[in-house]
Amino acid sequence: MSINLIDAEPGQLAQILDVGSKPSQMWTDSELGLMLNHQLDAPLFMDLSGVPRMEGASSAGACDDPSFRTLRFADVFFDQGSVEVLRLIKDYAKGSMIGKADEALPESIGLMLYYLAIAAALVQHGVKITQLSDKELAEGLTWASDQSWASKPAHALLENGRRSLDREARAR
Amino acid sequence: MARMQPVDFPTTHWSLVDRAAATRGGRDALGELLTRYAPALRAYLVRSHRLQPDEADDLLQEFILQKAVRDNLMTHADRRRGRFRTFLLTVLDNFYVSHLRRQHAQRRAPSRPLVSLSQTEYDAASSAPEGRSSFDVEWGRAVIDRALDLMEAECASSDRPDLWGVFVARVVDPILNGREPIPYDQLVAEFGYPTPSTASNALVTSKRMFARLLRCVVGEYARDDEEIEEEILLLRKILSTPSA
Repeated sequence: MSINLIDAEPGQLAQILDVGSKPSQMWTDSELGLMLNHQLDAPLFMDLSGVPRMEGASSAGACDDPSFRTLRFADVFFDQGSVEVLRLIKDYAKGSMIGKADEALPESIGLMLYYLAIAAALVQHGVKITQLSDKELAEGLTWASDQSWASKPAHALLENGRRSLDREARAR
Repeated sequence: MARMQPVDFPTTHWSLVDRAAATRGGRDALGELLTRYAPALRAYLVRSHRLQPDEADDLLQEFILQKAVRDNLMTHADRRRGRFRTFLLTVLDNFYVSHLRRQHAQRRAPSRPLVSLSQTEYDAASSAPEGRSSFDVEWGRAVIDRALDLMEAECASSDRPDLWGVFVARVVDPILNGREPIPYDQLVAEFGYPTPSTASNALVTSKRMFARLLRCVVGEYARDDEEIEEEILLLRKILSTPSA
């Protein structure tokens, strides 16, 4: 399957060169959007079984619930997910960014899942499942919300999460 | 462009050019390097000096033989004064001028010996300006071609043909043929990955591999890491320029 570059235009060659010269831009926005959609549509149990709890053991047993095997990431984020499962997803996202190269999620996808889980816990349960300060969390939610490759439901959840955070901060 | 067989490749940025200047065995390395970039030199002779392709081939063959094998070209290069690529092209220009002089002289006195370049001419070559775009485009083409060759070979030898397949399907084919990248779920089916995430991570791995090999290829003629980065940026600029 050798590649023939004889007829390649200089602009096409530049694009190939870009692949090797911009490690920080591994993914186009459309690729990231595609990956996020794949991840949102993936069954939770495939990724979350065996995820170590990073912040306490309150999620123990979540994976044993029979409904867990039928849930997708999108179900938990956009419909209803328990705080335990959202915490589990947050821990999974955090860990997935530091895994081995072949297993790790792209950092942007990991961060997006991380903030979606936190936003979902804020919106659905009014619970903050992170030790980030309000300011740090607000910045993170704003970053995630600014990503053009995130889906509309993801944008809406992140915006609502940001508003919930503001409301909670004002109430304190 | 003829496909070249991958050869043993330096794992460090030990420049072939430096080897060529330092050792007799390095002349073989320089010969190899010049042969690798012969398509770029040939295209330049055809386009800039309007030679017929077979004339360009003959001249190049003579250039490589004389410069790499007989003159040890690199002992003349002052690499603080210009890029190897620019130096090489200007030496070729001067060689072409000598070739014309020689032809002219032979018509008048057939037994006259070959004309060699003076040190002054080499010095002029070392400080020649950039800007021969057709040559630079062909050079960039050869660099990328070489990196792709090495990547395909490395994927095969490390029993990871999937990495090459994913790279072609998601990067090279869409760029060269304007096709939509193959969706990750299709790659899952084709290469037996457990999840689309695994497929996307294979793409990350393959891109990193290409980036590493690209630097190795440029490292054959660049001095150090900094010059490698500069050269890649410069080639990118040249290739991105509409008139190139």
